[in-house]
Amino acid sequence: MLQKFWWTGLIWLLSISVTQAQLEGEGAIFYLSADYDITQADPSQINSFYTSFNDYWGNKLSVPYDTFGTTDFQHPNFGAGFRFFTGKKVGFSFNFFISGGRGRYIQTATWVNNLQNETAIRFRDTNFGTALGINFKKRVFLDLHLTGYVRTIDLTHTTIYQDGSRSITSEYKLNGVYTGVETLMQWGPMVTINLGGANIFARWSIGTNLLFQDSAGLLALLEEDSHFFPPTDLPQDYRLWAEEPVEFLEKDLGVKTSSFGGGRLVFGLEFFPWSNYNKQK
Amino acid sequence: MRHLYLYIFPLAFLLLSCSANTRSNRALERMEGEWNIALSERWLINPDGTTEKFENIENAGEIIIRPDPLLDLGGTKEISAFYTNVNGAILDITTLMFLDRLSKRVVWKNVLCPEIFECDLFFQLETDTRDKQVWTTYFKLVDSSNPLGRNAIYDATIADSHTKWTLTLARE
Repeated sequence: MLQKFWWTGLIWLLSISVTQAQLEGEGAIFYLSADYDITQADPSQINSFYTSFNDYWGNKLSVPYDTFGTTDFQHPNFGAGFRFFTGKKVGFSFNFFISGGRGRYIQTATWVNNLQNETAIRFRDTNFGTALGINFKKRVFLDLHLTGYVRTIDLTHTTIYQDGSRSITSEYKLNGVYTGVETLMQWGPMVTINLGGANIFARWSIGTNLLFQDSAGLLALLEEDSHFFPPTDLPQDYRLWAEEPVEFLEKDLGVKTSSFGGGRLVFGLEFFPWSNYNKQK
Repeated sequence: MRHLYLYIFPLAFLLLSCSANTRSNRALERMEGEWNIALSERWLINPDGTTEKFENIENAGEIIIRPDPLLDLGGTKEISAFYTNVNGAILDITTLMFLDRLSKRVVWKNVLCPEIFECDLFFQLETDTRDKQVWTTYFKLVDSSNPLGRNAIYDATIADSHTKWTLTLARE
């Protein structure tokens, strides 16, 4: 994982070098950005955990788990970037950006004795991107972007007792912290429109992973939780996990991190705190 | 290098990302030393949400955390715990301990039994400062043959009650 991260950083640095050489003396602007990120995920595997858990325990649950929809994973990002541009009426533009954000998504099931299970999924996203395209009077930018998305996922399974106490200790086997990383390199169109003191932009990432293989990594428990008998993966099929652990391992039915990735729709604002954009137009 | 800051920004980010892995090791280093168990509290949590406190002992014992004597790579420590509970039972152990990667839990190795699996004791890290630690763990009460209630299947309705044990440690 760390190796992929370094490669993405290296690509970023090389891209800057090339662009700087080509555009020395042309317009360039530094910006801060705030955006909203909607992942078009396929949460069928994590939903399978919830539904199989509900089916297994049936009427022992007074409120079963709900499931996630395909666009439930949404959160804000904050970042920064550089935009280089040429031309008067029509010109080229190059854009480099980095952003990061966090999201938290909770599902809860309640037992008939009012004890609760909670899964809290936390995303920590780091995104590196570059975009190449054309601009019209430096007001409208139409780009194709290539973006690396690194999404660190922690799923904390907590038991909430009837008095409100919250436990992630080992009295129940599901308790604990499950982790994984989903790394994607995606491309897509990007539109940016200047509104004077700020830009608005929309970026769509097609859900195809260009550079890295789709992550096959299990959303595995932290290694310290491995004190439990295997399997220690968050199961897609709870019944198999509970009753046929060997078959569960053979079928590799842990929840994969790819359940939390997918195409992205991002829209947001770019601000120019230390540059006079209008003078460079 | 007209745009030197273009390089500094991503390089600084990459360097910072590398240092994040050692957070739990730093927290573990901070715990090293001698601690007084200033307060040991245990509650019974009933299914109706009421609690019964059945232990409230001040100065219940001592915990000493030292470097791992076998392999001191920073990820584990040796812990010696001497504790007397409300019934007079004495816990006197020396074992290895470590933190999880997110610094949310303290794990005592092989406290419950000597085998490989199901023998570690996990405490949640509620407070983590240089001079005060608050650790909490939970047990489920199933039956007398399985008093710690550690089994694989998550049937929360089997256990009538659960117990909560909180240790408040003060640096000596």
